[in-house]
Amino acid sequence: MLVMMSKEVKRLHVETEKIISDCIKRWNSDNELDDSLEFFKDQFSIWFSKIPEDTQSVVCRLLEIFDYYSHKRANMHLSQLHQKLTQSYPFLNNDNTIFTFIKSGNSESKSSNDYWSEYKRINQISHYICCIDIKDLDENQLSKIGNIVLIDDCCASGNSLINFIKSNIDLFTNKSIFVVTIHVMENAITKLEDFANKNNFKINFIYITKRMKAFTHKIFKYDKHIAKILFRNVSKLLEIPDNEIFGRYSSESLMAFYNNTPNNTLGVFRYKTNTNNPLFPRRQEVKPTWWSMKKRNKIQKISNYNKEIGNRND
Amino acid sequence: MTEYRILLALQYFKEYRESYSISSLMQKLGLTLKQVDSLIDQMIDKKLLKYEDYLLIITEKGRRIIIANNMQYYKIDNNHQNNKIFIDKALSLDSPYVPNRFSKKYNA
Repeated sequence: MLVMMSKEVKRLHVETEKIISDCIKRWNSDNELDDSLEFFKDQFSIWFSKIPEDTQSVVCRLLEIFDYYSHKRANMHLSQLHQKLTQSYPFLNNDNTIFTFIKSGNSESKSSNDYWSEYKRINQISHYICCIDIKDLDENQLSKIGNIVLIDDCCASGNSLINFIKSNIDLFTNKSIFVVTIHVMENAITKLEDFANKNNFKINFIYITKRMKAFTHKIFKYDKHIAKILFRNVSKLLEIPDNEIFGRYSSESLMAFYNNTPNNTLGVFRYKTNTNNPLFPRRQEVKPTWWSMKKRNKIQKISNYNKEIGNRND
Repeated sequence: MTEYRILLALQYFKEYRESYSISSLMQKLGLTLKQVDSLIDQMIDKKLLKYEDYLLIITEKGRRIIIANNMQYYKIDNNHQNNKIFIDKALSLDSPYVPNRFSKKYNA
């Protein structure tokens, strides 16, 4: 009995060591590991041992298509992206183009800041054509600009970008938009192209990695629907909330970056619970109640106003 | 004021090395993106920072400035080396903060 157990422990040890070394080889070309990869290496065996045996093969296949971008790798891709952009669209120049990013209304310190800031410096783009907030440009300036380049780490569901464009639709009308991201999901491209067609503007994607949703790949030992069910069960076992299991908007992404892990990534890889110490933890801060109250009050006021106007018209 | 910010930023790049990020520098120094961006540009112009192998690193001149200002032992973030990966949620304002290994020290 003891011999069997020790054989099983040895098998698991060999298997996990192989997964760790394969992943690190794929993600890192340097001898030195960054903090996130050190953490991955340290945590993997414990984390993997909590996955039931029937689901371990599903998780292994998912890790084979998981993308991790260290700081150096991400910055190298920012340089490659600019080469791709300028080679594919040679008509872009300082007179007709601006470089900006998706600015969130609430938070100043979004990760898009990092990529935009590094992109312009690595590629030595004139600061005159790099713009923190597109709304700062006046009408006259905007009329001269035909191309807007949006820099970001990833485009997973496309929803943030659609919301950003919707809230600034006047600024984007009759312009060509170039979405420059390291990682993009196929679904996001389709969704954004539909949105662009309906709203009369052009959208182009420049990226390094394009991926399908995790459970549309034919990589599993089981049928992909069974693999998905097994994955849902293990996520529940690890106390991952329902809305986090397949990532935000059910994006089913598999990616992490040196500065954070997008919330579109499958929950078990990033969401910390009492039973899950994830491999690529997402930095998460809980917003105080007044933060959402402010938004709720605004929505309530708009709704009251519309109701009042509606009553008057009746 | 700018000199002081430059010193803090230099220390940040020395401490964080390849794990630096613009947004984390913004938070540490309490500056906006525009301010941090211009600060980094100034530091590159003064040859205190440079890009090497796609990463921003502190130059020899930058290191000498840290030493000349007696900042070599100053830590921007005391927890950085110990808690490289921060994953815990922030404590609410009314929860008491218990330092690491407090009970061990208290019992001793």
